[in-house]
Amino acid sequence: MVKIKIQLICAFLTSFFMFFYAGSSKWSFASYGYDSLIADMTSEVYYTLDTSLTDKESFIEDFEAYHDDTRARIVYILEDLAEIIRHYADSENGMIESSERLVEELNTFYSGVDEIIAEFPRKEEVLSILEPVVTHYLNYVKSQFPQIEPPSPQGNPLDNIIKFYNETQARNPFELGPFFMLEPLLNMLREKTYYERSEEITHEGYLSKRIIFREEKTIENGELIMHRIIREDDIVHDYSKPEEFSFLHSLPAKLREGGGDERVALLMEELINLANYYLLANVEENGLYIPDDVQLNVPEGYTPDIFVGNFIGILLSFYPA
Amino acid sequence: MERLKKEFPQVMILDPTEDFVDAELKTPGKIFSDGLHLLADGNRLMANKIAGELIKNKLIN
Repeated sequence: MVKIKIQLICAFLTSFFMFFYAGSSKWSFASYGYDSLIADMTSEVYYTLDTSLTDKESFIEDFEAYHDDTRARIVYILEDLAEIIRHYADSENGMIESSERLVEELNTFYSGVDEIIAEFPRKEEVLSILEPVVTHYLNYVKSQFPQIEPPSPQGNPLDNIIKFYNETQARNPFELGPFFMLEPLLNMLREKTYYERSEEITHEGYLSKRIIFREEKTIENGELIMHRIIREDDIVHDYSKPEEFSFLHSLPAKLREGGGDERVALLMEELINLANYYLLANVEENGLYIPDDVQLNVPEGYTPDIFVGNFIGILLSFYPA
Repeated sequence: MERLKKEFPQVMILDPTEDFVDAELKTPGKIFSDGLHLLADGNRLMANKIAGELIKNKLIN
């Protein structure tokens, strides 16, 4: 592999840049974000050039195959997400000023997503994956960290979220950065598990369901006493319970056993790997409590960067070119 | 652009602005979908631009 960073300077293009790099042999979306240094002037594209692409024709063919409309539209969704993050990071006091503003931002995002994915054959999956993450992220930022500096606008949104949560963690192991952030997504995947294993839940019913999370916390004398995530339908998941924690880790296997979608199982594994990575990295420093029956295994050499590449790669596999 | 080249010598810098503008003038509505995101013709244009630079740097033939 030959890594190449190509910087495109386009004064008439607003501030976005994209990173792409090749996985084992093909182009794949890796990360995405804004560059504050040269914002509003620059688009960046990062590639890893597959060494099998030795001539101009194969390069162009591969490039065009990647940049087909369907996949590009997923990038657009992430751009909208990044736009929200950038907007929030650019505001005068570094935060979204009011709940009205937050609602406005989210509505804009959702309407944009609805519009963009209208042509997707499986648009519900994009929505259901992105929506709870974004909702939860912004709600959490708004409610919990009014005085903390926002994440750097550089890097891709997912990285920003991970960094932000990593930096602002964690009075409770289950509030720990990415694991906490990923709860809604894991919940969604669990919902998906039930959906795929139960005929009682209709396809339409699942698709039309908008998953909204509310969090409740009780803090006394600076200590977190209670913390739970409550879903719109009042199903409570209390991740301070070992059985819930263990259940999350068992989801990929359960999904496979139930004949579920392998790609969803892979997504789960990536999320769990990432959560474990941070849990293990912080277990001593923060005195985390890990239930005895939970094994925190992380593949050798695993890093958040690997997570981002794998996660987006799997996400894209839902939308074959 | 010159500042960027100086500050980031390891970065390959392309400026497709002129190519995009020319193409947009010749075939309006074929390059960008919304003034920002590239359509297929725009992608092809960019691919050729990048490929030219890769050839110049002997990364592809």
